[in-house]
Amino acid sequence: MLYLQKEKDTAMSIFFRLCCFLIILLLVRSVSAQESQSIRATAHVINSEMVKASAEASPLNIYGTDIFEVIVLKPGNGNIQLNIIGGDGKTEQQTIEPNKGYLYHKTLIDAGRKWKSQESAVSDSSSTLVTIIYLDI
Amino acid sequence: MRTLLLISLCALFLLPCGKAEAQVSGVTVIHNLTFGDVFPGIPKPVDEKTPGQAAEFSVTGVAGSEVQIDFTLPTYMNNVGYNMQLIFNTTDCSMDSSAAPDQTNPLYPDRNPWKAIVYGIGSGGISIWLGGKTVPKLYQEQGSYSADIVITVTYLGT
Repeated sequence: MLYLQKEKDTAMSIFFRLCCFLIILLLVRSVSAQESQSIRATAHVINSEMVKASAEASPLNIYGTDIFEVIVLKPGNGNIQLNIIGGDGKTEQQTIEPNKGYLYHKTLIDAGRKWKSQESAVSDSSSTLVTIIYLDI
Repeated sequence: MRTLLLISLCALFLLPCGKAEAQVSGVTVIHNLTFGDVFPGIPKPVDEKTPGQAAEFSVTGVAGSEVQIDFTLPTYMNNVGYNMQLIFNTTDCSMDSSAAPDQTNPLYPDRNPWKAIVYGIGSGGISIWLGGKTVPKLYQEQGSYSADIVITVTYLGT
């Protein structure tokens, strides 16, 4: 009888210890239950050429392109006025808002034509950065 | 007696484990962070509230459970020997755990993706959106750039 009681106590002791161990194990597992996933950040850079024009811009020459897009980066609020000067001396004017692109077609800009930029609204005297994006259509 | 002990132990081990793993049953990638065409010298942001461009994840699990969300964010995108700066601001992450998540007007907007974010799983899980900004150099090399963004979701047990 004493032997059976002793065996029962031993079994209960083992059971209790195992329960404690499992609870700790499960707590650790619960805390570390995690999953990871990854995604891609993607972008495609378009070929381009940078020119810089000041508020009193000098004429800039464009060569060897049929169609291009002009994107203007400009501090301040003033618009940019582009003066496109043809070989015949006539000037076409286009107004571009800052940070917006403008698509010019072959009929407007031919290879070798000159153009220059100037600020139409006097907001500051800082430089104007003009990006020419060649679309190569 | 020993058989009973063994069965009890097995039951104790299996039942809570199943529950723990069910708390976060999955993280799914819905959409990549897509900047599209980028022009040299012109920074291009993608707002996390812009469908189709912002990164989107979905977390599923037991409603009411809290999870911790951690991002591993890259600082550049790469293109065979060239890189392009990638910026994540402190308000570039939004979440929504409602039954009908709304990316344009999320329940838990403008979170900081650089820090751990704790949020509760809703009946429809959690929808997570991430925006960012790429800053190409003035003479950025032409081509396709990419980087990995890693999200880790940890069950907090609450």
